[in-house]
Formats: sequence, C-alpha cells, structure tokens
Amino acid sequence: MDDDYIVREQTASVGLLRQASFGVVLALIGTVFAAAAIGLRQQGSGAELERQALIDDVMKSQDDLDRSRAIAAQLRADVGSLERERGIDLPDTGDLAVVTGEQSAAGPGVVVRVDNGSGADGLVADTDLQLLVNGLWYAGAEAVSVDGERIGSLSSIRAAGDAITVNFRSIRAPYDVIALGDSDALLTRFSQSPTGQYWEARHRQAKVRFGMTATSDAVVPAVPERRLEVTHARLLSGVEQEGVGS
Amino acid sequence: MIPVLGLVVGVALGLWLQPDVPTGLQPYLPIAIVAALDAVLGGLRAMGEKRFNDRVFVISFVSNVIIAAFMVFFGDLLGVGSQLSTGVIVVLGIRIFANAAAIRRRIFHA
Repeated sequence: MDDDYIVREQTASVGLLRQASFGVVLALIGTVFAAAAIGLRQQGSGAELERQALIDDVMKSQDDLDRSRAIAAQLRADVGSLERERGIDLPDTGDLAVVTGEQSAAGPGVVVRVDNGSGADGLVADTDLQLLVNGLWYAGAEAVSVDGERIGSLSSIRAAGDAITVNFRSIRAPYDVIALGDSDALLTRFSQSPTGQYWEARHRQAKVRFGMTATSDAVVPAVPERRLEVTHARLLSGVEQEGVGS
Repeated sequence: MIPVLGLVVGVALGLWLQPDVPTGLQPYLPIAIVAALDAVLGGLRAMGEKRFNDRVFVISFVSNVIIAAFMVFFGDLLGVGSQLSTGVIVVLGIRIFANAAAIRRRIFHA
C-alpha cells in the first residue's frame, strides 16, 4: 500500500536545513495534535456544562412550581376557614364546583361508548356528540365528559377538519362519554328521549356502535383552566351582595 | 536532536497557547490530524524496516497535507466538501491501517 519510503536514496541526514525542516514538521504535527485534543476536551465540557445548566433550570422550575402549589393550597384552605369563621353564607361551593366543572367529580353514572360505523354515513359527527350530550343533560346528568374532556359552560363540541374537538382539544373514535347521575334514571330517560331514538336509528342505518352501561363509580375530570376564565362578564353588584349575605 | 526538540516544542506550544482553530479552517483540522497520524505511522513503519528517511517523511507529510487540504477546499467550492473530506479521511485511514498492519506483522510475526 504505502510505497513512500521505497525510494531509498540513502543520503545521510546531516544538513542542518534538513534537520530543521524535520523538526519544524514534527513541531507542526505536535501542535495539531495538542490543539485537537484541547479543542475536543473543551467541546465535550461545553456540552456537558450546557446539559447541567438545563437540568438545574428544570429542577429549579420544578421546585418553584411545587412551592407555588403548596402556597395555593394553603391559601385555599385559609379562605375556606375564614369563610367558616365569619359565618359567611355562601352557596355550597362544593356543589358549585361540580356544576361549573371547576373540580373533577366522581359518583354513579353511565359510561357511553360510541364508535364509527361503516361507510361515510357511519362516521360519528360533532352534531351526533352534541345531541348525545344534550340527551344526557335531559336524562338528568350532573356532569359530563367526552373522551376525558369535561363539558363546562364554555365548552364546545365542534368539528375541526377530520377530527372533533372538545374544549379545543382533538378527540378520536371510539368516544367514551361519561355522565354522572342516577344510573337507572339516566338509562331509562335517555333511551326514551328523542336523542336515544336518534342514536338507535343511527345504529340501525349506519351500524354506528353505541353502548351505554351503568356504573357505580365513574370519574370526570375538571374543565381545563383556560375554559374557566372570564374576562368581560361580571357579577351583578346586587347579586354579589346578596351572595355575600352580610 | 532537533526533531525531538521540535516535537516537544510543538506539543508545548499547542498546550500553552491553546490555539482556537478559526472557523474557516475548522473543516481542515480533522484532515490535518489524520494526515499527521498517517505520516507518523508511515515513519514508524519505515523505521522498523530500517529505511526511514527524514526527507521522505517531511516531503510526504507536507504534500499529503497540501493535497488533502486542497481537495477539501475544492470540494467546498463545488459543494461536495463533506464527501471529498470523507474520501480523504478514508484513503488516509486505509494507509494508517496498512502501515499499522505492517508494523504489527513485524513485531508479532502475525
């Protein structure tokens, strides 16, 4: 392979110039190796430093978050105890939190599983789900979630492209709809309602799958926070005073 | 004596000055390193075969580095810099392996 040294004109290396050039080349080689070694070391340590800094940042943010959460919980507890102390006659905030969807809720209810049927007609549309939720409210549901998205007063069920979005989050078939309420009443009232008949027709015509089962222990999550924010509407002052009741 | 001094001085210079390789010359650093490795191994092999010649060493190293650098430079101009530098590295790498194999055969007879 390497025939560099095959040319052998054995001239003794005595000339100062030759020795010097040899030395210079070796010096060059040494410099290159040293520079490369140092460069690589610095590169490695730079990436390592960056990684460590990022990890520290994440840890610090997590600590901050934990602290803020603890403070929030503490303040909430303080507010509760102060309200009780002052004997303020607020409406039961526990019930309110369930009705508005501010907190997750659990209880007996029904689980509805809906899936696309055959053909283009068998696709479950946003209007189908809207009717279903309306029917569940009619049947006596107290809290409803669609595929893990709680229906609050600002929630919408809309079609966006091919997907259906609830609370601006896309959901996908099969859809699990959970409704809290009296299981038996929900089952009978829903099946007798126009919505129940509509879904039965959908099942017959387009093989849309629809199953409703009673459960004694269902859980619905809270409404996402950005669907609870109100920026323009205010409480009427008279109502406010009445609510405070002092 | 002078060559050994040169090597020591070179390493010391590199460690002492810690030269930052300019960005423009960054692509040439790996080429220079591989060419230097090739020259060193070729020299070691020739030394083992008792036909080392400092003149050949200097000239082959300098010319290899110049050709390799020129190929990378030219490749950059043509927009195939990375491919050509890969080619240079592969060729020099093959030479390194061949020289190392020759040295190994000489030492271990295997």
